[in-house]
Amino acid sequence: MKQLNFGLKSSSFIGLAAFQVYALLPLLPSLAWLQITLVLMPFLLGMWNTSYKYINSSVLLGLTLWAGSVYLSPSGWFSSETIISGLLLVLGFKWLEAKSHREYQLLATLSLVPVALSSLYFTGLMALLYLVIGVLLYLVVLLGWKAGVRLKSAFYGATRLLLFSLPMVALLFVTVPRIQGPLWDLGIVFGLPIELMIDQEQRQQGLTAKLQAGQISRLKKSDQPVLVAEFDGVVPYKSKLYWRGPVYEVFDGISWSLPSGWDNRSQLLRKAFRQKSELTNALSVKQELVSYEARISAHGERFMYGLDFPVGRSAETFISSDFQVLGIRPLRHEFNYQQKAYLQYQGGRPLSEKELASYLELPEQSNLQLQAWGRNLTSQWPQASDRIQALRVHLAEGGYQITQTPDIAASMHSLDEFFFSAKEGGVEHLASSTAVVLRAAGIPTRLVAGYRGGSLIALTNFVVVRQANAHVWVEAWLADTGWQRIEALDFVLPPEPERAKSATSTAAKPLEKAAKESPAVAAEKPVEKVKEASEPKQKKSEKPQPISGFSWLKTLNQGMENWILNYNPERQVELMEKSGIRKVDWKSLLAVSVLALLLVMVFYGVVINLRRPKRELLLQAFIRLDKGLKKREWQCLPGECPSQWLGRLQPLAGELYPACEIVIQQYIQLRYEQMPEAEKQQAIQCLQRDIKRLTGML
Amino acid sequence: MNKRLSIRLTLSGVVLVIVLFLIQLLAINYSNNLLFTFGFMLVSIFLISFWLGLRNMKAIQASCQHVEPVHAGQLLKFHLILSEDKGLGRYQLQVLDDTGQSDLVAHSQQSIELPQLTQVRGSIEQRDATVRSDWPLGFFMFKRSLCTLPEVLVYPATGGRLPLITMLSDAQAQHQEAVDSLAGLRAYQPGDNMRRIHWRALARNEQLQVRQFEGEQGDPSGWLSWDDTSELPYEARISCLTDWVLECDRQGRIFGLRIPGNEIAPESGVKQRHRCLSALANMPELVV
Repeated sequence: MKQLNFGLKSSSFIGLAAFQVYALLPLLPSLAWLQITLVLMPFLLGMWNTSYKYINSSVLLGLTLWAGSVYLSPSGWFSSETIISGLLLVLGFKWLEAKSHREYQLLATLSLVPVALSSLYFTGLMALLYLVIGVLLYLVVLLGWKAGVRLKSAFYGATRLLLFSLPMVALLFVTVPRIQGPLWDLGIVFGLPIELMIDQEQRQQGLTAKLQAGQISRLKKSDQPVLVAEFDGVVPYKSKLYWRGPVYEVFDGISWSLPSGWDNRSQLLRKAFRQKSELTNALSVKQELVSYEARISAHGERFMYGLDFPVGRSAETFISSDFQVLGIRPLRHEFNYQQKAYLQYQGGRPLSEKELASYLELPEQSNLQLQAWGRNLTSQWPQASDRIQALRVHLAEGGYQITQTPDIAASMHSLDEFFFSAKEGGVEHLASSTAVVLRAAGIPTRLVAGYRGGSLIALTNFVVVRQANAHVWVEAWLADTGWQRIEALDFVLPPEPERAKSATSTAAKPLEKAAKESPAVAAEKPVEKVKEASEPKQKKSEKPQPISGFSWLKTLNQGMENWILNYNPERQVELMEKSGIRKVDWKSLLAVSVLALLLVMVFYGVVINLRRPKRELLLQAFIRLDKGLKKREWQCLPGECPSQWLGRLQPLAGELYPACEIVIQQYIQLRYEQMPEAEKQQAIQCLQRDIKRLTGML
Repeated sequence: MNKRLSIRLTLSGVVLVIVLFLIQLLAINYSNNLLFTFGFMLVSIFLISFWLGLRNMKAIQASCQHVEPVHAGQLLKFHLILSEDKGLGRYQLQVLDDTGQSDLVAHSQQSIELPQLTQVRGSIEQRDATVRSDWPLGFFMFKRSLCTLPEVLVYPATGGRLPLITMLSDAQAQHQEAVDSLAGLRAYQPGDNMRRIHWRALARNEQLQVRQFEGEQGDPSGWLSWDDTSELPYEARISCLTDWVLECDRQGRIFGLRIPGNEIAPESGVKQRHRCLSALANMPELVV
């Protein structure tokens, strides 16, 4: 590598070039070939010719070609490829024109943005490693500019600095209020029409009157917003938010469909709940009342996706007999409504024999194995709640996997395939199988489609629900309690952190209190039973694992997933509550964060400024000598110069005087005579050795 | 002297703050905890670099040892001694604006020269010598005063165009070189001609003594007169007289100086040279 004309050491240049390559490399594969060429050209030119003269014309040509490539590409001006290639091109031109070390320093700082973007192409431990190495390289580049600093010592300096920063990083990570994105959700929160956020070309209809296998999985791939809800007070845990959509009753073996007259307004209104009292009286269990205002995008149907279980009244809407919030007319425009809901509920109007029969109906020639399995439950468990529990246990232990890309062909026996052989499918396979088993087991069941959860806009009470939150669940009718939700998914997937928390708190409740609860409530909170059910699983995991050389890596990865990757606003709130903060909101978090940062800053300031400085080696030697001679009270007196000290020692030291004289004379020579540094260091070592011998003789 | 420390963000620091903001936006947008960690790492390093930079500037001792006299147009050099006795190395120190960066090893002293190009004669007022450093990472620029540089008198520029004219001060006046018989020794007084120091006497009794010559009482002396340079422009006259003063001093002559509003009696030696050059340096500027 050549010596550069602006006086940069070639090692600094190599460090910066390595950092640039490191920052850019993961981003390049996402770009088109022309853009890759354009981005790399200035970097290569800058490396080969540091006094490149045609910068202005190169910039003009590069930008023109880049604009042309963007214009011709299908991704458009606001795509991530365009933004990334534009950013890299700017960095390339800066590299080309940079002449002073200050400009190169700026370039290194700007390159942190590509490093951050590149990290998105990695996952887990790899991504963390990539970012840490990125910071390390950046520090090496900054420290390496200093004249006379070798790459190796710059690396050591950077490592020390990085390690020193870790406590502060941990503190900031834990306490800084976590805002969850995406940022464009904020636009919706501030009143931008949801329509603007929906890609008109790829507009999805959402849930329809017929639910087929794979439909929910397809919806889950879309990020289109459906509705935005503002809660009064604290936003409940996301996993408790069920936005109720169409309630399917009829199953033909392949798809579920709505009952006849589902879109007939007069028929719907006739059966609808007219008064609030009628609704609340219909519920046997009602807990966790929330109030919210929702804004829903137009989708051409009546479904308002009200939160389960709706009990409020709002203009232009009504609550149907199957607890849906429906519009008086299909939604052609964005619509606002206010609602209230009980997040935990059981109940409903009594069912007629005809209705009961319809909720038990199954096609005769479909999923025969599954139906037989369900019937078998009836013979084993006389109580309906026990049958439900047995199914839950089976799901928890069955090793089922939920995927967004189910590989099960739609057929009359596709649920058999899912339940008994594939054990991997979409959430609709899981819910449909549950519904078929329960119907076969003699429990009236229906399938409810809608959305579960949403994105909480941190620092606000807004939740944005999008197609990616699409979900389907089952409602079962028990004679003594009415309808109750059966969420099969929670028995298949590991519980959410908040669910785990609720499980812990529920388990901690006194037994007598649990006994007072109705059996239905106990069924709604199946945690203890499931705990029992999952015990064999835990025992399995407790078996001694074969010792592997990479087990520490697995543990590290698991710890990182728990405490870094999955550290979200909920976990932050939980942690702060455990730390003793009574009211955890963004204000208290911010206050804690600022206070902790100030304290840590003061701590760092004290540590850095009061760090005991290194004593001069010669001074250290003198202190040791003085301390040694102090044993016989021959120490150097205040204000006494070494030659006077030596003179005083002559009558005192006796036989030891020659040894004292050698050492003190050596000290005088080193202290007051000029000599080359290397020679001095050697002489100090010799003095230290002699002092050790002398003090040994005392 | 104002020893207050001033701290400001450098351009690199400002850019880092902007980049940190962008990284936080990215982290929020993607709800990516690793990007939050990345941002916090950089924030921490940014804050730690502040403390390290602050420590780097603390308790550096400095004193101005001496300044060599110069004539206008020459480089004025302040000789400073920087010392460190806290046992901490100090890095990338830049004293004043126009010197290079240097490090100061722990428990050491370092002599540095602060050059300053002088343009005109006259006094340069005392001012603070400042040191600045952007160590360790270049995000903050720390600046503080080290010591006060003394007031300095810049002698007039040399370059006289006339040969030395020494007007005899009176009838007895004669060139000092004519005196060659030694009359005795007397104790050295500041300002005595160095050539008259009796080195052997110094070796013998460790006392500085100067030779005295016969007839030195009422010594012959010469005057350097403003009127003798009347054919030159104003500043050139001053330069010419400056040249003559230096020449007389070099030759060890006894000379006096007559300039408008000031007359310096004939004497020889360093003091006399300084008196004369100071008088010339402080002459008022020509008002047109």
